[in-house]
Amino acid sequence: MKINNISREKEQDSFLKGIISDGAHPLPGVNIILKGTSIGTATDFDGEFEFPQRVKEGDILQISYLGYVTQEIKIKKEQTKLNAILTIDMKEDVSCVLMGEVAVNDAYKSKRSLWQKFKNIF
Amino acid sequence: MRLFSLIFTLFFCLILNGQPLDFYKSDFKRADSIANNYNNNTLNNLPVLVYNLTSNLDTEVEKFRSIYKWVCTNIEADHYFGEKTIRTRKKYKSDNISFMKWNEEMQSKMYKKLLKDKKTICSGYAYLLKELCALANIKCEVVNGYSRTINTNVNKIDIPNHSWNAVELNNKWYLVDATLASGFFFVNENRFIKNYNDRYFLVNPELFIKSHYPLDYKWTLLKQQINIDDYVKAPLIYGKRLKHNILPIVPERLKTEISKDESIVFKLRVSKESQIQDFEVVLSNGQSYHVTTSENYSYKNGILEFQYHFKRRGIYDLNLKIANDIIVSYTIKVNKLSRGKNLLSYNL
Repeated sequence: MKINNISREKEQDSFLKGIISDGAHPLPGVNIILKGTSIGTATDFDGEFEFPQRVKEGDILQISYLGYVTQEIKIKKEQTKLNAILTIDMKEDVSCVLMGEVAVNDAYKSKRSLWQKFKNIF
Repeated sequence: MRLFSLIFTLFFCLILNGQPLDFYKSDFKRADSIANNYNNNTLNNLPVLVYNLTSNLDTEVEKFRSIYKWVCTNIEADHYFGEKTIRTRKKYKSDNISFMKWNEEMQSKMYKKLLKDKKTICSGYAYLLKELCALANIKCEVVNGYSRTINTNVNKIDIPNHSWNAVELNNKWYLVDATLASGFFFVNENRFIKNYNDRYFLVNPELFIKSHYPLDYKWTLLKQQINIDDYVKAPLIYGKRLKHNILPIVPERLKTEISKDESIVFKLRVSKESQIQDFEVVLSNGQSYHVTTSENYSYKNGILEFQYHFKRRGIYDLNLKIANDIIVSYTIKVNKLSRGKNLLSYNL
């Protein structure tokens, strides 16, 4: 029974771990998903994660967080090995230019000069 | 034969107006119901959201529909943030460096608010749609440009103020606007009303150009050139016109001047004659309102035509409404009798 436990722990150790930051600080809540599936995990408060299953060479991981540029990482052979650690820097997506408009239910009124408003009274 | 081809063209136009381009609404039942299943999902995990929205759908257009519908029905428009952005854009109109500095700061705030509250402005809708599409391997671009509202780009070019998307499906580009499709800010109650408007999905580019003028002209998806000056001077049209399938044709400008002895002619493309009884003309001279229904109209080949005669001179705002939805606004300046006009030109 004991032996069994140890071997399972060993297996757990071999899952891919990593740390994700924005270059300066660790980023919590970043998703690490095996591309084309819903298998994956998210980083904790220290920006660290452990992938929930063994990764194979050639697997693609999508690293995604709203507002940051999504990254796709192809797993290399050495990253499938024991205690492999992935470090990733996320970059904020700066391509977004703020424009502003949303729909409002209001009707158009032409702008009138003071004189036009005054004339209207009569 | 000519009559036949005319009827055929009109019929064809109606199909173009009523349905998303190239596809039928019925194609999207499954996509819509999948999007509906994930209502209230958060934005915390975009890849899994996209996986859930698309993995059980076969075609590219269905996948896109599911993502688009989810965005439209789950994201709220942030009216005050929108107004603030427009004010800042107007303020920094000729100072791009200051604007970009502001943009950089606000960008992070916009992302955070979108993530936390699922509330955003047009640029956030367009950004999110693009990101979700990228995760589903669908080519989708953000298009920035000029939209016309009651305060902006009316009669003169103010500022670019809106973002929407172009999406490539089966090697053809299409236009969508998730912001305007999601609902509207209800001024009277000071809150956002969710009200999905399907007519902003894969819109016919010829109709889209009436309300969306891109900074990069290629995103009109049109071959013919339309001048931006004509665009901002056109009558002000509202989103509901798409729902009712009405296209204003005459007058061609927002502002029209006539003299007291003239009548003004209106022409609109109306798809069903039965809609005409729901028409209402709301007139305002800035002081009082007057609602009238026109009895003198003609309806031929899908075109509704009627006239209006003003008894007094002045400046009038004229709104055409159907079933309580405003379709289009005009401003009409009624001058003295033509005799006065002649005198004036004589003096000059």
